Amino acid sequence: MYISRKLLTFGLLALMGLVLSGVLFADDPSLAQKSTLEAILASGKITVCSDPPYEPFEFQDDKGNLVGFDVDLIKMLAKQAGVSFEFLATPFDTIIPALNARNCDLIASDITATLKRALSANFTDPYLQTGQIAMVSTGKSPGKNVTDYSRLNSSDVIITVQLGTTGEEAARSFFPKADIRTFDNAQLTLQEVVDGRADAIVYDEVFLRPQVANVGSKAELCCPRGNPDLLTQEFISLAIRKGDPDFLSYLNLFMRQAKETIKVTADLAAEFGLPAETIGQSFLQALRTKWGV
Amino acid sequence: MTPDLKLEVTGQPREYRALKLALRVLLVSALMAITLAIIYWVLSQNYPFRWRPALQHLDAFNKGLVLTLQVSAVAMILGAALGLLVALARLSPLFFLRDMGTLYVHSLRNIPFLVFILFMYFGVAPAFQSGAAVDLFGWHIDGRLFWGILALSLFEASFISEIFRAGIQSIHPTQMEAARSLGMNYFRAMRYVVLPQAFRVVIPPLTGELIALVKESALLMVISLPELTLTARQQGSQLPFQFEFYTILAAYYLAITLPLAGLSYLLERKFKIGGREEVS
Amino acid sequence: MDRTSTDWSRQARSAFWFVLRLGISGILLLGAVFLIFWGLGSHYTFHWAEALQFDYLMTFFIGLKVTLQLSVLGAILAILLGIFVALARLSPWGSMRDFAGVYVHTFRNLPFLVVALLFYYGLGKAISLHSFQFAGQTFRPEFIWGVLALGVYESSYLGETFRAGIQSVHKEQVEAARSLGMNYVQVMRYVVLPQAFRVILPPMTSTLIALVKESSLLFLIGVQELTNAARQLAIPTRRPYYFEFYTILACFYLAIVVPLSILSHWLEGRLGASRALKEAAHP
Repeated sequence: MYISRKLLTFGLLALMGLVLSGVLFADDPSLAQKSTLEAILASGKITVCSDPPYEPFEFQDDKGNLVGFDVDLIKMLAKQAGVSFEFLATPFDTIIPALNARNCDLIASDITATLKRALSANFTDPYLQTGQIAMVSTGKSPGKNVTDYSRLNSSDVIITVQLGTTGEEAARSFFPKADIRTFDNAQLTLQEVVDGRADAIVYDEVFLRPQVANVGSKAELCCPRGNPDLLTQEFISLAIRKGDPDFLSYLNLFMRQAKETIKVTADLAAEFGLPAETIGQSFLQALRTKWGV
Repeated sequence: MTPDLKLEVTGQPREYRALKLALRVLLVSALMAITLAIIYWVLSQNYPFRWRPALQHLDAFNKGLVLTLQVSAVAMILGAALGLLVALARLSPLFFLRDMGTLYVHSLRNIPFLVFILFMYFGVAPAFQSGAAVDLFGWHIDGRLFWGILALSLFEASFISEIFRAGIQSIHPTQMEAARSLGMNYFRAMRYVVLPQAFRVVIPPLTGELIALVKESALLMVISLPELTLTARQQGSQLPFQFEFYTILAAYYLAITLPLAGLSYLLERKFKIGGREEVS
Repeated sequence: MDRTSTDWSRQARSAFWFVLRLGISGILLLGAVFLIFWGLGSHYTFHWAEALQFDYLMTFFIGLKVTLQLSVLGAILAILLGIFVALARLSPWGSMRDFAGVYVHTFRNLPFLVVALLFYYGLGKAISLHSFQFAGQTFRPEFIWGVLALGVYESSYLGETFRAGIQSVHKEQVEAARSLGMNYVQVMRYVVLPQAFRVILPPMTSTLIALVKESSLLFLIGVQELTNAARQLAIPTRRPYYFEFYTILACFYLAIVVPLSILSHWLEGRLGASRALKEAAHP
C-alpha cells in the first residue's frame, strides 16, 4: 500500500519534470529564421492581434461580426496577398508580448509606434497620424468648465485612461497631479465620462472624434473645446516581430499602395462597404471617410 | 520523584516535540527552497528577472494594501450585519420573508462576483448616481468606494447569511422553547439566548468568509479602485516588470490571508463543536 | 403510511397552501421588482427591446460555449491534480505531506484573479505556449493558461476534499478488508473509495460550481468567454445598454449554476453525506 503511494508521488514528480521541460523547449528554432511572410503564404492565413471592442477600429457589429477600420485594412492586405485573415482578441497591455510569443503575425489595433515599443517590435510605415486629446464631461464639474489643458493638471480632476495605452502615458506626463483612473477597456473608460463620473478621458483623436456624434451632449472634445489641439503627435502603424525584414518591406509597400495606388472602384466600394462618394479616392482615404476617422 | 506527567500523556517531553517540529519546518523550507530555486532557474532562462528595480515601487503596493484592508473590513462589517438580517428572515415563521431571503441568497450565490460588480457599477450606479462621488448622510464618499463596498457587502451577505443560519439552526430548538416558556418573545429569546450561543459556532466559518472577502476584493480593480491588484496592473503597464509585480502581489495577499487562515484554524480548535470533522 | 381518504384531503389542503404561498410571494416579488424598476426608470430609460435581440444573444451563446469548455477542461485538470495532491497529503513521508500542504495553503489563500494574472502575465512571459488545433477548433494560449490557472487553483481545494474524504473512512475498514486478503487496489476500489465518495461529492460539486464562476475572471487575460461577450456588446456609442446586458449576463450564469446547484443538492440528499465538509470547502 505504501509502496504504491510512493510510486505515484514519484511518478507525479517525474511527470511534472517532463511537462515542464517539454513546454520550455517546445520552440522551434528554425521557425525564427523563416520570414513570417513565407509562413503566412504557406498556411494561407494571416493572424492579427487586436483589442476589441474599440470602435471604430475593431468592434462587434449588431450581427456579431468583427468590423472596423483595422479589419477593413487587414481584409485588403489579405486580399492582395491572396490569403484569409483572422483576428485574435488580446488585452492591449500584453499585445506586444502576444506578438512575440507568436500568437499572431502582426498587430493591427490602433497601436502607436513609440520608441519604447520599438524596442520589442518593429513598426511599419504609419497609416494614420493622430495625437492625444481629451474629451471632457459636460455634466460634471470641474470638467464642464475646462477650456484649457492646464486646467486638467490639478488634483480635483478625474481623468480616465485605458491601461497600457499612449493615452495613459500622456495623461501621466501632462497631467501628473490629476486623479488618473485606469480601465482595461476603452469603452468603459469613455463611459465613465459619459456617465458624469469622471471629468475627462485622454485618448487618441482618431478614437474620440468619431464618438462625438454618439455621445451627444454628454461630453465634448477639448481643449480648446470642439476643436482640440493635439497633446502629442503619434503615428499609428502595424507592428510585427523583430528580425523580419521581408515582411516589413512587404507591409510598407502595402501601406504606400493603400495610401496612393489602390483606388476605389465601384466593385471595391461594394466589397468593402465604402460610401459612393469615395469612388476614385485612394483606399486609405476611403476607409477614413467610411469610419469617420 | 513524581512521574513526568507530560511524558505519560504525550509520550514525549515537550522539548523533544518542539525539536521535531523545528526540524520538520526546516526540512520543508529546504525542500521548498530547492523546488523554487529550480523553477526560478528554469524560468529565468526565458525571462530576465529584475527584482531590485521592481522592489523600489513598493510604496504604491503599500497604499493599495491599506485600501484593500479598509474595504475588506468595512464590507465585512456591513455584510455580517446584513447577513444576520437575511438569516433571521430565512428562519422567520413568515413565509414571504423566508422566500425573499431565499431568493436573495440564491440569486447572489450563483453568479460570479465579477458579474455582480460590473452590473452594480456600470449598470445600476449610473441610474442613481450623478457625479463621481456619493453624498450619504453628510459623508462625501468616492463613487468607486461606495459601490465597491456596497456590492461586496451585498454579495458576501448572501454567504454569511448561510453561515448564520446554519449556526442558529445548530442551537437546539429546546433553547428557544425554554426561553419562550420563560416569557420572552421571539426577539428577546433570539437576542439573549440563541444568538449568543450561535456566536460561538459561527466565528470560525466567519473568519473563513473574511478570507474569501479579502480575495474577492481583488475584483474591485475593474471599477478602477486602487487596491492591491489594480496597483500591480498599473505598475506593470508602466514598467516592464510584470512577472515581478504579480509575484509581489501574490506575496502581499498571502501576507494578509495566511495570518487570517491561521487565526481561523486556532479559533476552530478553540470553539470545536463535537461531531465536526477535522479539516485543516 | 396508508393512503386513506383523510390523507388525500390533507395533501390537497397542503397543496392549496403551497400554491397560495407561492402566489403571495410571487406577487410581492413582482411588486418589489416593479418598484425597483420604476425607481430606476425615473433616472434611467430602459432599452430591453434593443438589448434582447437574437444576434446579441448569439454572441452570448458563443461565449457560453467557451465558458463551458473552460469549465469542463479546468474541472478535469483540477480533479486529476487534486488526486495527486490528496495522495501527497496522505503520504507516509512527512516532507511530502508538508510540501503539498504548502501548495494547498498557498493557492487556497490567493485570489483566483491574482493566480490567473500571475500565470498569464508572469509564467506566460517565461514559458510561451502555442495555439493548438483539436477537433477543428483552435485553442489559444490564453485559453490554455486559463485552464491551467483554473485547474491548479481548484486542485488545492479538491485535494483537501479528497484527502478528507479518504481519511473519513475508518482505518478498521481498511484493516478488515486487508485481513480478508484484499490487496491495495481492491481495498481502495471496493471499500475505501465508495465510502469516501459519499463524503467527497457535496464539497466537490460546490468547488466545481465555484470553478464555473471563477472562469468569468478570465476575460481579463483575453479569453472570449461569457463575460467578455457582454463587454463586446456594451459599447457606449451604439449599444450603451449596460444594465440590460449585464443583467442578461447574470441570467446566463444563473442558468448554468442553478441547475448544477440543484443537482448537487439532490445528490447530497441521495448520499446523505457530511455538511461540515461542505462548509469547509467553500473557496
